[in-house]
Amino acid sequence: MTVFSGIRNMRPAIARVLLISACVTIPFLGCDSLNPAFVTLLDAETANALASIDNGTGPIIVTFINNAQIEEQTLAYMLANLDGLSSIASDSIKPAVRMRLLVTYQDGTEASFQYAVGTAELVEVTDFAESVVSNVVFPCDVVQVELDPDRPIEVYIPVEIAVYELVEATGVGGAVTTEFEIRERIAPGFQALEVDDVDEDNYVTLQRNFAPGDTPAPVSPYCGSVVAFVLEGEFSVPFLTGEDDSPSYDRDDESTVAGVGGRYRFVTEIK
Amino acid sequence: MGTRKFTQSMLIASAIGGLLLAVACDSGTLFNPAFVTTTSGGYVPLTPGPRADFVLVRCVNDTGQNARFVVAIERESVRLDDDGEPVIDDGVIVTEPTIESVRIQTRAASPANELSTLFPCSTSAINRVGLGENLLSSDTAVFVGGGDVGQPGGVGISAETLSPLSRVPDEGPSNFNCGDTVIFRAIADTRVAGGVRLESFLLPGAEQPSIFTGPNTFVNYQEFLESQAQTSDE
Repeated sequence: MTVFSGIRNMRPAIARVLLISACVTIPFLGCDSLNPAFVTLLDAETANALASIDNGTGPIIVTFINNAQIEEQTLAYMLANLDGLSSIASDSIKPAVRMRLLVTYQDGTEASFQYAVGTAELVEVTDFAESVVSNVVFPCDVVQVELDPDRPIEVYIPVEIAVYELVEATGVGGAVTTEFEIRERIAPGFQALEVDDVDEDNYVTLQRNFAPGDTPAPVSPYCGSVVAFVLEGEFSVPFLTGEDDSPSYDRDDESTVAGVGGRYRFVTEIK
Repeated sequence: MGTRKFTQSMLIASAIGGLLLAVACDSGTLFNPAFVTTTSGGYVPLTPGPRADFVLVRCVNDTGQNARFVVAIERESVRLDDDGEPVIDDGVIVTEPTIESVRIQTRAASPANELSTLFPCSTSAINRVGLGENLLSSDTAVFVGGGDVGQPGGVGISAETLSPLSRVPDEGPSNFNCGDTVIFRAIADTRVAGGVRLESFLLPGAEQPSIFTGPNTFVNYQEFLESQAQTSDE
C-alpha cells in the first residue's frame, strides 16, 4: 500500500483523526493551544468551546489627544483672573474637553466610555478631575468605536460671561440713543460644542464649533490597533468691544453666540 | 481494520498533523495566538515592556456588577515656582512626588468587564501604583454597583487589603518596573466584608520577548505620542 492510497482509504475519518492526532501527539499543549479558526475546519463544536479564549490578537488602544490651543486674548484674561494657573507654563494650558465614545464589541455588547483631557486646574466641577482619562486599552474584539450619539462633546468655559442686549434709551430732550444693558451672567461650566448649521444644499448657514465632518468619525479597528482622536483648534470666549473688558457678548449677535467656546476639528488616526 | 492498517493510518495522520503543526509554529495560524504568546512569546505583546515605556494598569471586574476602579500612580515631578519655572537647588532640579488618579469604569459582563489604561514613564519615573485616590489604605479602591463616572452611587470597597506596588527604595525591594503590567481584580467573595475581594498581579515586561510577529500595539502607541509631541514643538 502506498502512502497516497492510505490517505484515500481513510478520507472519511481524516478530519477527526487529524484533530485527535494533533491533540494526542502534543499532549502537553492540549486543544486550547489550537487556533479556533483552524479547529473550525475540522470540528466546529470544539472550535466553539475555544472561541472564548481571551485576547489572542492584541489589545486596541483608543486615545484622545488634545492639541487645541487657547486664543491669545482669552488666555491673557484667564491668566490674570483664574487662580491655580500661575504654576503652569502658559503654553501648556489646554482647554478642558470631554466626550463619550461608544464601543461595540464583537458579540454585540455596547459600552460607552467618557474621555476627558485638558488642564484640570481650569475646572471647578469635581467630576472632571475624576474622569480625566486620555487612553483606554480594550481587549479584542472591538467592532466599532464612535462618538456616543446621545452625548455631546463639551468644553469647559472657566470664566463668567456677561450677556448684553442693545436697547434704545430716550435721553434728555427726547433724543433716542442705543446702549448695551446687561441681561445675564453665565457662570463657568461645561458647554456643548455644536456642528455648523447647514441648508438643504449643505452650505453652512451658521458657523458654530465644528464644520460638518470635523467631529470624530466612526472607526472599525483591527485587533492590535491604536485609534487616536486628535483635537485641533482654538478655545475662545468673546469680548464685547468697547463695552466690557471681561468675556461678554451681545445676545442678538447670532454668529458670536454660536461660536462661544471656540472652533475645532477632530483628526481620526489609526496606527 | 487490521493492526498493520491501523498503525499505517495513524502514522500517516501523525505525519500530516506534525507537518501542519510545524508550519503553524512558524506562521502562528494553527496555534491560538494567546497560547503562543503566553508560552513562547513572539505573537502579540501582553505588557508594554521592554520596548515601550509605560506602566499598563489592567482592571478586571469579576463582581458581576458595574465597578469603577480608582487607579492612582505616584511619580516624581519637577517642582515649579510661581512663574511655572523649575525650582533649582544647588544646581539640581528639585522634584517632588505627585499623585495622578483616574477612574476606570468597567461593566458587569464580559468583555466590557475588563479595561486598562497606560501611564507613560519615560519622562518621569512612576514610583507607586495602586488603588485609591491618594494611595492610602483608608481610600476607596473600587465603587461597586454604581452608575457611570460622575453619577452617584456604588458601594465603596476600601483599599486597606491591597497595598500599592512600590519601587521607592525606602519602602523595600522594588516590586514593579516601567514596562510592566499591573492587574487589579475585584472579585465577588461573600467571606469578606463588603462582599468584594481585591487582588493584584504583575506581568513583568522584562520577561517578555522584544520581537513580535503580530502588531506591537504599545510601541505603536509610544511612537504615535512621540510624533504628536514633535508636531507640537514645530
